[in-house]
Amino acid sequence: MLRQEPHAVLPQSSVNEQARQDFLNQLGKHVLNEITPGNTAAYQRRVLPKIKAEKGRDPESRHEIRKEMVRDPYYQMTSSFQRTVQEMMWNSVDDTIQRQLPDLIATAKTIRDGDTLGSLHLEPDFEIPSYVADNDHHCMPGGYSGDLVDDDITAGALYDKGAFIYTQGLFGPRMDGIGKAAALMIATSFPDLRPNKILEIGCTAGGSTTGLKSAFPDAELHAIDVGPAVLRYAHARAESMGVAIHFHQMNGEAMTFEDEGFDLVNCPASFHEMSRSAVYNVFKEAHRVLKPGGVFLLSELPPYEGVDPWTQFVRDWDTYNNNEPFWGAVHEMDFADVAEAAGFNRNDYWQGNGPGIAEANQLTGAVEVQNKKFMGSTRGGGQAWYAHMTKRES
Amino acid sequence: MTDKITTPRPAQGKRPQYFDDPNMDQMHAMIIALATEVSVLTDRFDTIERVLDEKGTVSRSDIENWQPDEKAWEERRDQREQLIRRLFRTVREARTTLEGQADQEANT
Repeated sequence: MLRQEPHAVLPQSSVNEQARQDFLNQLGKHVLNEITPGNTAAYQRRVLPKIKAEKGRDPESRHEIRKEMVRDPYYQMTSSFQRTVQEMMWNSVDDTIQRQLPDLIATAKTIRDGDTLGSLHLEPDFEIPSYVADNDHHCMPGGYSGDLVDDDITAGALYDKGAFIYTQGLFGPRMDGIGKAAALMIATSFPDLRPNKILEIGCTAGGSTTGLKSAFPDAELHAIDVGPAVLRYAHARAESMGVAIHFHQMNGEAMTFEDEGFDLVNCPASFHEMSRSAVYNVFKEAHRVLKPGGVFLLSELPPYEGVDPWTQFVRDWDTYNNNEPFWGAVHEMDFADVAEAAGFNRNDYWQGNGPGIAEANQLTGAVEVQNKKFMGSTRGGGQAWYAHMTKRES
Repeated sequence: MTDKITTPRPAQGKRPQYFDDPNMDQMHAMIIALATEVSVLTDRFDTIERVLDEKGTVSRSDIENWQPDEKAWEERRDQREQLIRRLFRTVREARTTLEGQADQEANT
């Protein structure tokens, strides 16, 4: 059994809450592995013949498939189950948090007010970008920017504990798999890179950030996000683990860091939560804050380019069913074009598969990795998709 | 700002309607909620029985503080899997039928 490693602000489940979370975790896994794969047969047997009869050809896009699949009773049922389990999973964790919220807030505050290794910088008049403020990504109540009470930490706790269940533990006991995997990617592609100063854009609860810091313990690490509650939580969490990170409430589209200050900028699986124009702006800002010779690394779900319409449809489930309105659009973007528009040279751009999250945590032998993924977000079992680019020496 | 947050909180964003009748969507969610609570009760009974086996007596704090070891956790996981398999019996049958038909067509 994979269990999350406790730290000072990790909410502790009661017996009933733990039972609820265990059941929903297992139910989600069962639906994913045993129920949703039947959609392939529903498509071949019922939906594809209908499209062919109507159009006199194979479907040309995932949208054509979706239009018919949403009318198929098997697809309706499996999607309803997946959506419901996702909602109930977040709610089950939220119960655990709200029951002990005053204590968790007090703990975070005590840590913040004591001697700290890193720091926390919040902006009282900060404007949350609408692509975060107006949508609760992956159905997480309150989203990334929710701030419910004074000194709230709910959003961070919800992400930290909920995403551990959601990914079936594959982010690792410390939820740091994304950062560790990014470090493996860097070690493979840039074995000589010794960053003194690192920036992470979109750190949420700081899981990836602490993973990155463990690979570069001597580097000064700064992490930004837009939500105050995720940042308060991330800071308290990192401090309680003895990890020095400087957290800033900042919009990646318009950062207040000086030009050319960082050797490495990492954006861990955050672009699918942003609008198209925000993606362009963040690339521009990454280019601006990088030192010449510095590296910008990002991870994402793989792009749809060159993928057949049915597989695109399968991967696109989250766009319509998991409150991920930017998912499909971002996976249609060509990041090489975006990089060029931001000032990077196309010849310094690379994209492809790299170390997976489970691999980074040496969990590839875990039963959970054997998932036959069908629909929805990656559960971390396979390889991850990366793009990286180097800023030219001027 | 309020002091007490009422749960469960909904997520901001468009929830798809999956079935022609929206009441069916609600029924689906209610059935999963009920099944979850059955599993919660089953785990709690299991805890009570295991504490009784160990101590011959049981208190609320015994229940709250008891943690399953690896073996007990695996037994519970298997029990949950059985509950899920019973819950999805007809769904599994629908999948088998669909896949049988698809296979048949591929072979003709």
